[in-house]
Amino acid sequence: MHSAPGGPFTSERKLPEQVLANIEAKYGLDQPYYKQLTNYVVGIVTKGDFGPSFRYKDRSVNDVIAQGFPVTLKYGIWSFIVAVSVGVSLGIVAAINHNSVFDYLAVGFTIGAQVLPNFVMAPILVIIFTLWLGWLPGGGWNGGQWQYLIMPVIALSTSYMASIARIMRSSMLEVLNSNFIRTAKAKGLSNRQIIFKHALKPALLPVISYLGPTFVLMITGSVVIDIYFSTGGIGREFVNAALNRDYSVIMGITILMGILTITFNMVVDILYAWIDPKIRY
Amino acid sequence: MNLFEVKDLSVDFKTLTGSVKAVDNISFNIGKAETVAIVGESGSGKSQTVLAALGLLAENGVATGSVKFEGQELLGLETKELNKIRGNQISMVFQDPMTSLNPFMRISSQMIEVLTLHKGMSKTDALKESIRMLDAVRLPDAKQVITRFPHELSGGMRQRVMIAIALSTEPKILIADEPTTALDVTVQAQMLELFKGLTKDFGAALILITHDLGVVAGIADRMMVMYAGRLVEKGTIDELFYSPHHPYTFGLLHSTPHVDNPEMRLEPIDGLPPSLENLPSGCAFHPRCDFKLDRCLIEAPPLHKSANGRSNACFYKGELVKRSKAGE
Repeated sequence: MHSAPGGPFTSERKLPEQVLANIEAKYGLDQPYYKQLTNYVVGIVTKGDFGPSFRYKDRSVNDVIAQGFPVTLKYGIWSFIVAVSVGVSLGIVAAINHNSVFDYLAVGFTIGAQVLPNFVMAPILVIIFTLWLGWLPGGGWNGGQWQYLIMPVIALSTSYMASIARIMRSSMLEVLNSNFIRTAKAKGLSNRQIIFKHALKPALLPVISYLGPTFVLMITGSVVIDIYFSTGGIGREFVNAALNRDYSVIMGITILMGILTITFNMVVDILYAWIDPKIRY
Repeated sequence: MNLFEVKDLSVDFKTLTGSVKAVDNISFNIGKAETVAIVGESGSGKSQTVLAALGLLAENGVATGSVKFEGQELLGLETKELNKIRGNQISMVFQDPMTSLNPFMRISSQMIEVLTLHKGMSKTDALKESIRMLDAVRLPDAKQVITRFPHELSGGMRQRVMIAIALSTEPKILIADEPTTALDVTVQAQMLELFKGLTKDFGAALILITHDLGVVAGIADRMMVMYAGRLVEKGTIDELFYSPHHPYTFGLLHSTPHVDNPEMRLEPIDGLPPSLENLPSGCAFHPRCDFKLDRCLIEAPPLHKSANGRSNACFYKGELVKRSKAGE
């Protein structure tokens, strides 16, 4: 990070030497790197303090995260719920009606949705729902009221939903062709019992391994969503921090993502063991 | 009325290159508590015959003809109605016990579900009954085993579980699709004993699908021989074993070792089973047949009844003798 040219206090007009030295001293940037690192780690471990923002005078990194993260968390979790529930059900229904018109439509739709990036999706949604229909506000957050939530959630969840649906469909198809499903049919179980009691758990395994990292990506937000809908989540803060060389904010958000990634990979492992008895020991 | 009547059953599979006939126009009856073996090489259509009867064909398979259970037509029956029969009146044990149980569910739930579904038992009663069934298939320590997952059991134990599930609803017909193929030879013998004893105890008819004539000789009353999707010969075990009429049955018998006659040389049937996509003209067996006549190359012999209920599909009426002698 430090090796990238520029710094938090570089601007077009050069600051006087003395002023720059003073500021650097205040933030501890004059100290050798190993010292900076030790101070930083000690601060996090002992006080849970990620240090001050170098860009905003009165905000600490904790403030930036405390302000932005709840926003991203809210639309992220909603997007996750939408992506998983729609994706999984669409995948199951397509697999059950394999090679039917519905299956082809679902596959076509998911391919379309998967290749449609959210920075294309967002403006399309705004054009339809704000400009044409006038149903939804084109941006803002307003404390996370539902009207302000809908479009960010749709824009963020669509492509994930499509991926989940496709994974779900193919794994469900594979499970439905397995020997133990033939046994279940020979037992005279209804389709509903076969799908939900016998096929769902094994078919969910590949989806779950996809969901761990996806969940982290969704709740740590998306720059596009934050910028396009002015939601004020940490996705935007992250990009701004990078542009401003706001070292401590970049570090803070990176560490947050790291912790979440580790946590949810562990959650995935635990879910795996819960579903597949062969993994328990 | 026969317990189980199959009439003019054909099974076709649609593939990218066209339609393949896996079962060609076969008919047979099975009576109460009878043990009938369907014998044939891989791909002769023996499994597809029973899968078609239970509506378990792969997605691209189509069955035509008629399969009646106690007078009720099974082909084309709605899944909901069919589900009242399969797993209840007609149960099936599959070839591969390693993959035929659901690896994600405990043995207990896989056993209980058939009893609660078909017999309307409560879960506690069903559990007790399941443990009793596991005892009946002579699984030691049934109370422990029932709490396990399939991967914690050996192949033989799993097959016993499969049999216990199949028999727990006291079916009128038990279909066993190569039930011993995936098992060790030592376990095979135990398993056959079990089949023989249990079907007798439960008064169920047994349809045994196998390519192992040793298995057939041990437990079946009658047998049917299939080749390339067609029934080529049927009759009682004794008749077919001691005086086969069809050259294919004859060939099968001479390629099977006998304990009581260890000196006998094994005579394999030359050639390979035909591809169903590209069947030979006339009788499908003619390229491998030592007794073929000219007309065998042109027309397929129909299955015609001979005396005392036997049938076979062959034009050759002479005596079948060992090829080594025939070549002299």
